[in-house]
Amino acid sequence: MCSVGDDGLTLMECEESPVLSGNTCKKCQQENTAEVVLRKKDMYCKNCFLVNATHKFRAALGKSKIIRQGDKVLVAFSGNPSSVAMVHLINCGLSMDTHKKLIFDPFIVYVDEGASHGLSSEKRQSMLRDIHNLLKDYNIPAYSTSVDMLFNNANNERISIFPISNSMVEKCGVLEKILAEFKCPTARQDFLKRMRYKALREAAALLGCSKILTSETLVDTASNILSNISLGRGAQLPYDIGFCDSRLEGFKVLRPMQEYGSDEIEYYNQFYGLNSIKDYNSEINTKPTNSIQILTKKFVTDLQENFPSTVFTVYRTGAKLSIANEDNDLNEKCSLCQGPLDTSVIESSSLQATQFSSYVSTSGPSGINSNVTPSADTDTKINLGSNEESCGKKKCKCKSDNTLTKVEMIDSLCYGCRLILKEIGSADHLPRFVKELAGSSNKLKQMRAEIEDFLL
Amino acid sequence: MPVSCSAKCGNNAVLKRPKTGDALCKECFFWAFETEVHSTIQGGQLFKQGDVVAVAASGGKDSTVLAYVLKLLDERYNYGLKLVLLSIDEGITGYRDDSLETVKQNRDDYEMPLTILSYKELYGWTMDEIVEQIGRKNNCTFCGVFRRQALDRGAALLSVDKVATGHNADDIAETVLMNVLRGDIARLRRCTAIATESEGSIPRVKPLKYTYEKEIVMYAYFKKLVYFSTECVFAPNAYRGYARTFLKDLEKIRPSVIMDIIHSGERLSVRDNVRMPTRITCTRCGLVASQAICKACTLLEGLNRGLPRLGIGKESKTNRMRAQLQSAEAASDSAKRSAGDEF
Repeated sequence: MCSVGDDGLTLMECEESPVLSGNTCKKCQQENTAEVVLRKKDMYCKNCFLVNATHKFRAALGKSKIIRQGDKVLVAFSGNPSSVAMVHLINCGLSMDTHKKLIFDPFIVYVDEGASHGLSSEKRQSMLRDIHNLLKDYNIPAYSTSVDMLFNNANNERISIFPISNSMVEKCGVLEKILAEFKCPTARQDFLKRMRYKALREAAALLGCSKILTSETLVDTASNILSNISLGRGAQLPYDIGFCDSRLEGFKVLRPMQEYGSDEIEYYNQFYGLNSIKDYNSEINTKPTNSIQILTKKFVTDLQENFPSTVFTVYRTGAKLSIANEDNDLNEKCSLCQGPLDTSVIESSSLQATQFSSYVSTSGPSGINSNVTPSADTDTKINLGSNEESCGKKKCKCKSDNTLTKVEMIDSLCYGCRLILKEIGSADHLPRFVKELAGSSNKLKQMRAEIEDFLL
Repeated sequence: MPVSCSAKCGNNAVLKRPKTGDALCKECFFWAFETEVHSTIQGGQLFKQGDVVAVAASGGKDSTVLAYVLKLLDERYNYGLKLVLLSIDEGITGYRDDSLETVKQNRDDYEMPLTILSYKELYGWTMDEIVEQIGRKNNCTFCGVFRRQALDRGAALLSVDKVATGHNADDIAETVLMNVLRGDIARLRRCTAIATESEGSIPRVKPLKYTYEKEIVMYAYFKKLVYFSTECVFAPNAYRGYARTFLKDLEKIRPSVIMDIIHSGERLSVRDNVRMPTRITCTRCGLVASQAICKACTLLEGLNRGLPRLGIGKESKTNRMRAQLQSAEAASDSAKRSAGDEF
């Protein structure tokens, strides 16, 4: 039954073992020069490979025509192999002769996420030193910042940046407390990812940059596509995995490394003798059964090993998606991830079915009149009410007026971020910017309700 | 220590719902299960009063529970449906012949008329014979394509208004992942639709779209419904198996992942400039197709010409093979003609 409608298109054809005719470079056809084998079958000589690797980067940026002459661009740097390659590519581009010279102004920013991963101050300090070392040969200004500043009261819960040469690790305990609330790593990782982006955006604002470059590779992109779908983030997929993330006006996040396979990055760094460090995600939680993101990454890495073309297919599929025409006329954004809200309850939708399920499981046959056709509207309210522990009513005043309850908060979050909120005990621990955005979105909604009768 | 039912009915719970994590007693679970399917049917406006509905019955758990629940809901809520069973006999010895016995049991138990259509009578080939030709590698392609069309033909034959299939939430989520993995953007867009409707074909509906597979098993188990559960004797579809294992692993980490994936699928949108296959009708059989000659006709042509691989793989490959065949035929025709001229 389950395979009705599946006409079993041929997929994942196992790659045949490379047919090697000596070791001739596929590009320049010179014999006995090939040193590089990509996708397990294509052979190139070192020179052709490097020319192509450089071209790919410039083409990705050039094709989009998003970066203009003199733009200030933040370059996110984590020290992992792909970010190391990206910074090297940019540096090469800056020192090219005039007509090929990259024409933007780069600023490197390293986001210290040590606190998010429970690293000691010493370890974080030593990572900072490593980062500084990786960058010291480049003539590009470099800064560091850290995610925990978003939670630091002393810092007004804002990001500040320091030149990488004299950055110091500051410890603030708040983030650890919040992270302790997460029951499972899936939601925690998703949350931290959003925080990292927030930190980058704030750093970009401080530096006057309107563009941000990040270094997700092909495998990163393919696993992000699959894991974001699994996290209920289908509606925002183009922002989260596309080449250009334009969810916020005035900022664009660009991902110029998306077409690079891990093998390409490896060869590139090897040929130029570039060192890299392990980033946070590779250090912790190596058990794939722990989180959706890690399981997916493992799944995609296995694919890359056995069915390399499937990884590219996943990436191409992602590139064909777009942000839906706003399904609400207010053009509302999620207070946490700032993606479009995808939570209007439509009849006969997954969201409505989930809400209805938890409603019927808690009310029982006697609880509702089973002859009443369940409607989307009533379900939402009942369901949200039953989820809240102490103060279910919207008008509940058991907290001070400024703080939103979890229920009030939920309205201003997208589907994916609601799953994050579900994990944590109360909304109090969320960073200030989330609460502020949720607060103002709630106010707007109230205002709208007041004048609703007069709107045409 | 016994857990009491989340629905506050006072009874002790006997199960934990995989979908919501709530502990329920048997009666409250039955009620919740049925009410949810009812809600899906009402919300999606799947049926109209007086509809004749064919339940696509394989004898497996999904279609057995679907037939049972549709009959029950039809009586409880007066949908006013006429329910019939429609089975496809692929001709797989040791698998379908056994499962059809279960369907016949359903026919007697639920008092629904049953029609069985076989690949043999529709296409002239049984799956056993097809596997003899193609081998075990691509046989699922034949089976899937033929079954899809066979259901359409059967529905037309019985002149029903709707076909109800037993696709459950796990199937839908799996299909979303599958379509991403094979880059099938057109199917990715339509695979989460609860009803498929297009010119000239009978709509198919999926009343169990939001029902977890595990809960279907639970429902059948507690209701003591007989169903047939054996893997197909031919190699299970390896590609789908890949996605299935992945989904099962995801579900272990976060049970809501199935609904989350469906949500993602429902809210995806495709860029305007992406070329989509248009729905046309097959020039040979007249049924819905996305190419001039539909997949089923191509596969059948391959079988009948002794070239079973004709329809396997990309459309361009098929077209190339077909062009070669035609030019070869033309050549032999003209050879014959010129040979005839000499006399």
